[in-house]
Amino acid sequence: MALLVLTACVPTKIIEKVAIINSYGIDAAEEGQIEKTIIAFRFDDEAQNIATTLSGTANTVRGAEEDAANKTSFTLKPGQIRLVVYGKEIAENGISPYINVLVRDARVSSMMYTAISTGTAKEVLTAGQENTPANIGQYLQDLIEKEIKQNTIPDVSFFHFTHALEDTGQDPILPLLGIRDNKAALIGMAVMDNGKYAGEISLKDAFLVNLFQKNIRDKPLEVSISKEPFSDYIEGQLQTDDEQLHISTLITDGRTRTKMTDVGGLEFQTEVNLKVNLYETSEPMRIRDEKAARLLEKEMEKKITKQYEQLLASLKETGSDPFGLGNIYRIKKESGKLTEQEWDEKFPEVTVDFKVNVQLVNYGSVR
Amino acid sequence: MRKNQAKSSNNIFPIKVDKLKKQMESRFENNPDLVFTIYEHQKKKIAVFYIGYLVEPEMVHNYLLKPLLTSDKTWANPDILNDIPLSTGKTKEKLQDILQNILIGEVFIYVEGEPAAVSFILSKKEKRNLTQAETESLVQGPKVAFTESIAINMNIVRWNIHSTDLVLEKIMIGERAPREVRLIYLKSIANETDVNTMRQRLKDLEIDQLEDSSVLMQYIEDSSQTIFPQFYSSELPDRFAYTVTRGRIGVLVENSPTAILAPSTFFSFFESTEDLYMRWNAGTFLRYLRFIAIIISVLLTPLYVAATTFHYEIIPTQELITIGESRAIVPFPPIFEALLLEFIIELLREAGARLPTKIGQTIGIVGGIVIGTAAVQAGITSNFLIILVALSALASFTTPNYMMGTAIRIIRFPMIILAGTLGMIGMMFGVCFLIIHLLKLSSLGRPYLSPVYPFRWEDLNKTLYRLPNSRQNKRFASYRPKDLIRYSKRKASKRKDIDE
Repeated sequence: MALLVLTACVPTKIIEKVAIINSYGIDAAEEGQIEKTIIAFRFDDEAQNIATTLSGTANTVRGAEEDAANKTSFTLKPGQIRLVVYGKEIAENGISPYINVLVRDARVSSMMYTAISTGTAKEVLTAGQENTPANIGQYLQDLIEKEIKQNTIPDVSFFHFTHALEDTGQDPILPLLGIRDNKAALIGMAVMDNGKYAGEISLKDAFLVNLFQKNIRDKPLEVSISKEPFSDYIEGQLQTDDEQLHISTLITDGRTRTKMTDVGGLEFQTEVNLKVNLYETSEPMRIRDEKAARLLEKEMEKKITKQYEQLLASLKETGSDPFGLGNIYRIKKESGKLTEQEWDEKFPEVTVDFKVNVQLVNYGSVR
Repeated sequence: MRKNQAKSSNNIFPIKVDKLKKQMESRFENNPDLVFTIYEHQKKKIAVFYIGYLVEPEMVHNYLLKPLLTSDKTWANPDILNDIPLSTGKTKEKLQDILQNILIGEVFIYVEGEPAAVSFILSKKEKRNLTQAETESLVQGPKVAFTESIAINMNIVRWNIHSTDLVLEKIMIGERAPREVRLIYLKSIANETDVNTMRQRLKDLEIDQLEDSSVLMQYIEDSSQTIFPQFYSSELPDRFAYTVTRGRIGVLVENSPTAILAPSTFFSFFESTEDLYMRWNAGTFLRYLRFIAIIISVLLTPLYVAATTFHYEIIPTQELITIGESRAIVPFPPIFEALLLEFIIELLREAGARLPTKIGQTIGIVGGIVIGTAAVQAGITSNFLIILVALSALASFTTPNYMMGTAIRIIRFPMIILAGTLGMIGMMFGVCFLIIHLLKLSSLGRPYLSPVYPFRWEDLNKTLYRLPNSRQNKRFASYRPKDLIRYSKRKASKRKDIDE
């Protein structure tokens, strides 16, 4: 009890006296400095909007924060950071130097998101702020979270991101934010190599990465396949001149299993098993018998295999391995050790044999 | 006074009637209520004396004076005892006895020259009718409450426990104005050590007078420093019977409508007999509800204070905006805001309790609506806190025992101060302090926190939750009753068909 009395007052952080940083963006500034754009909450009964935008320039992230703090009467506090956006220019040079400030601070939640912007981070955060009724940091965070929940993109929360970043056999991928229709939006995923921006993949491809990494349930999937083989099943006149048949399905159960068939030759084999329900076809189709269903399955398999192969080819070009093939290699390898550099050299040489197996469970009846 | 009493404890009889009258009147100086009449019957002087408003005048007239004066006998003490048609006749020789008993409504007859006076109990006692329990009301179950009359209370207890095992020991407490106290237990079940401890505590009590059972409780409790009551005080006869038949001890005090039940655990204060009347699963649910309610009541407002003063990190972002916006207009720090609001709630509660029922309701509405909304609009407090404070006040009233409820409401204040100065760490200090304190307490020498500490698995189903009756056939083992088994499990679960 005496100890309690002897300690001085604990410094208070009453919420209406501090500005709570909700999100910030890092951009390159002149002379190697960085510019930090901060969106913070401050609870001022005279202000219209609780979210306020501040910016500061310095050599370090914290330094920039100090600089920005000079422009407000509130003390800036981390602790509720939900989103950090890195500008493309910064990202191309590597974001690792700016990550450690987040890792070091215990007040930073490991459930937050980091993202990369197509232009500058400031653009995404400010332009977005003007055109979004809600607070932009919150909006983007909800957006990313929703996509993860719906299995469109892999889980990219800070926890998973830092894990992949430190892992030698896997490279992280991050959401790529950009401006679309004057609004901030998720436009793809950025693949990283050694903490540097290496290229981008589409959201469709992001799903393939996600499917590779974990089991998927209840995820809608749209596939475009060649119309030709189905000419017998399409009813009546062709509705469009499109040579593709677009079908929409729901994956009720999607699993992948990857094993290494040849360690020395860097050969992998990936089995993708999909159970799907047919939702919609762009041409009215009657699936009268098993044969039609099997044909549809086969065409879908072909298409998805092709998508995977294309994705792998483009990833090899960027040198980034979000699949985590390196980890499988490391496990199979005799020494059980793998350096970042070693995998960088070997990754372009890998071959993966994708075996996609689609099973059409329900296709509904057309009468 | 004490010296006088000592002197008067000698036998004063035989005495001249006139002299007796003088003596009595000197005792009741300035007291016009003593009725002292001297009759001459068959050449003998007979004195009849009593206090007017303490006796039934009709009874005195019909059953005492009529036979006494109309018969042509020459009265002597044995004759009076035999021939007067009342069964409560006794002879009293000492002045002290006479003085004491005349005050509880006995009528004395003294025939000049006899060696003692004869007394009859013809007392009249003003009492209120049996009413519903008010502080501990039940939805289901017996509604009647104890009253101020110990005779009626004992009558109710006897009706609840038909057993010759039931002991109602009489102990008088109070030197100047003695009051009857009854120590009640079941001889074949109650732990003897507990009974002896209780008896000794009652007998060793040397006080001038006893105001009420709750005062007696404070005199005989294990620790008088703590805020927590260690004995359960109840106005419900069914709770009394339930506790006594489980091997604990009850104490009734004359003129007090609440009984004392001992020993009690901390958890028993959150049990209601209604838990028994409900089905076991509903009973368990209600009991858990009350335990959650204490946690809410003690920790919710402090948590708000700690979170808004120190730990904004733990508030979900959406909530942060709501709380922040409502906090923005408040000019005080959260600790002051919370203390103010809790103080207002306590004021309302106290005013509601003191005012007559009709005005009390109005005050409730005024407090709830006017002060609540106006305080927010005036920018004194935030909307959010009003909900929390109301919730924790509400939660504190779920405690079946009023004393415990009050204790819980009061410990919230130091908790808020700790939360406002040291944040979550302060709250943890507070909680640890409370737990250590509760661990140190005892009730009639039995650990206050049993059966959780010391841990007894088989007793948990009587405190923390309830099971079907077939699994609850034992008494509370922590209190070591003489007979642990309430009934045979096998017999209870066996079903007999009607044609068997």
